[in-house]
Amino acid sequence: MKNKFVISLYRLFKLIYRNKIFFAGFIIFVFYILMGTVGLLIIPYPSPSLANPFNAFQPPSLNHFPLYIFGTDYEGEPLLPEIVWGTPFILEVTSIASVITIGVGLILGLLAGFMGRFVDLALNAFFEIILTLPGFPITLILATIIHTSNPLILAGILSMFSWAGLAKAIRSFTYSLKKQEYITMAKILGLSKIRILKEIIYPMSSYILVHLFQDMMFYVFGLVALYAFGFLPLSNNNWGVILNFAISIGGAIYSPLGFWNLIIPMIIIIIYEIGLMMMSIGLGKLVDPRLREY
Amino acid sequence: MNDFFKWIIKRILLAIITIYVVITATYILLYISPGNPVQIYIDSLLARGYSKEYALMKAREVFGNYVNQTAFQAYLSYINGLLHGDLGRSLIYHEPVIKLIALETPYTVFLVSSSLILSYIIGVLIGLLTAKYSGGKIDSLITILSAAFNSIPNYIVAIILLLFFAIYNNYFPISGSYGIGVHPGFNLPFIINMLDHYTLPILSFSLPMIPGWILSIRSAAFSISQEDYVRYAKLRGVKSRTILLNYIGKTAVIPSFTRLMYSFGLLLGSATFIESIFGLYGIGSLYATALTSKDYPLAIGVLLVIVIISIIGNILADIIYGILDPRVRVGEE
Repeated sequence: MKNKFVISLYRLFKLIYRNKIFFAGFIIFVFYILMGTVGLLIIPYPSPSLANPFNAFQPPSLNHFPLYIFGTDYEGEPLLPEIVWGTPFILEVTSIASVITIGVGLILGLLAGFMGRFVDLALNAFFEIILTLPGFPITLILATIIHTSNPLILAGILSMFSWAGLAKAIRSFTYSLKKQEYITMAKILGLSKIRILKEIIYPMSSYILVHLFQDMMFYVFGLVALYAFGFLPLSNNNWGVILNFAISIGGAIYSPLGFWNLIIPMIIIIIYEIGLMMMSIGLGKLVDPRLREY
Repeated sequence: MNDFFKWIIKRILLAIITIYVVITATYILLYISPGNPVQIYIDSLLARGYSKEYALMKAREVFGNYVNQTAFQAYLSYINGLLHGDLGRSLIYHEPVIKLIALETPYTVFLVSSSLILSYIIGVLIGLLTAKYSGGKIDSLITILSAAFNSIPNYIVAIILLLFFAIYNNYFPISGSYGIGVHPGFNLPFIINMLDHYTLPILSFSLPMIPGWILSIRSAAFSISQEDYVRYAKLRGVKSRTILLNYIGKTAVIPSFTRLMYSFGLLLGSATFIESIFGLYGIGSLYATALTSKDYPLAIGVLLVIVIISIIGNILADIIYGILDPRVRVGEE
């Protein structure tokens, strides 16, 4: 049993390693996860005691390695601890939000595809309604009115409108798979419903994974922006709050001094996004044989 | 054609239901949910020592005539007010919400439509180019580049452009929709001035959208180039340029053209960050100001307008798609 598990793990790694784009994205992703977990043990918690007003807006340097590798902010506080300690919150909220999206999309899509008839009609109309709504301004107003930093609620607000596309895709997937011969055979053979469900979900799993990484990407955009532009309470520590303080308190946009204070968090965000993007492209190539040629 | 009509009528019915649901939801949000803005407003007046009558009168003035009615009556008069274009009064601008929205919408429409069209044209051109050299070095380079740029949010592009082209170098104005001393209207100095002010916003809005167009055109063109009629044309010796433009291009562009129409409504609501960063007029920045200063009548008014426009845009896109692509008209749904 154990041996089998090791072999399948080894196969998975070989598959990941062979797919260069996915592998590169995967390394970036793992690096950020390490930053949000192990990093917390190495890097001191950001506190005003680290700040030195005479050191405000320093460019990245190797003094007191590694404390000042990202430079300092408008108060002279080193940026590295702020960014490292701001990571877990972002990772937590965006991954919860993506899991909610995938879960809701999968369940409702399967339900619509399986049940057919009235359930399908009603659910499909519901998907259409959600799809035509502009999710972004609604997210903004909900974030402002609810005004919380609770990761679960935030994840709920972020994922509120983005599951419908997935649900629709899953619905049509289920429809076409239901008609496949091997599913009919499985039914005739009297295999259990759960087994049949497994057979139907399995071909979709890669599509779902691609969706998962893309969702995470868009939620990072959204979450950071909500904090950076002051739609959420600035009480906790994350990348968006760093940007917000740099802009609103430090005036970093309008002073050439503030360049590094703005650019460093933005680069951190962009690299993470590119990592997720590479993972989703790599997976897409893995799945779609037409793309594998290149 | 009959099926197509039925389909359109179904879409319109669905849209009406959606708009109705949204209106009801905003009503619940605004007037009856716990901690609703009306109650917060009345409480804030009471806390400042005004009498209850005065607070109610003020609230009625701001939120409309339906503050002290039963929930159902209030609901009816809310909808009645909406039908007559009454969205209440703004708390911070002390003007009717509908007037503010009417004044600011043209700026956002200008920003969104010009960035959409710009990104679409560039995206389609590059997308067809990659389709032509499909499989080669140029193709994979452009695909990788567009995937990378696809993952940069527009507000970050906006900040970077603002830093490098307006603040560190004075190529473009830092903020505002038009300069001081220019009078809005249809005259040449104003248009030139406005284009100067809008170059960076339009760029930062359209640059992150280009990769999406490229990727969708590329994949559409790729799957069409595998179709039998294209292969037959190749075998018959039709010029590769004719194949690219007439056989592949036209068919590949249609779906993305619908997406263009469809994005217009959706993007109207997402101009918020760009407009705030560049200090432009528009419903996006109006929305942001309304939200951050807790001016809920204004915020909900803007939200309703955005929702209604995007739903109408969606229906129009569907109809045009049906006209352009006959396969839809036959009724595959």
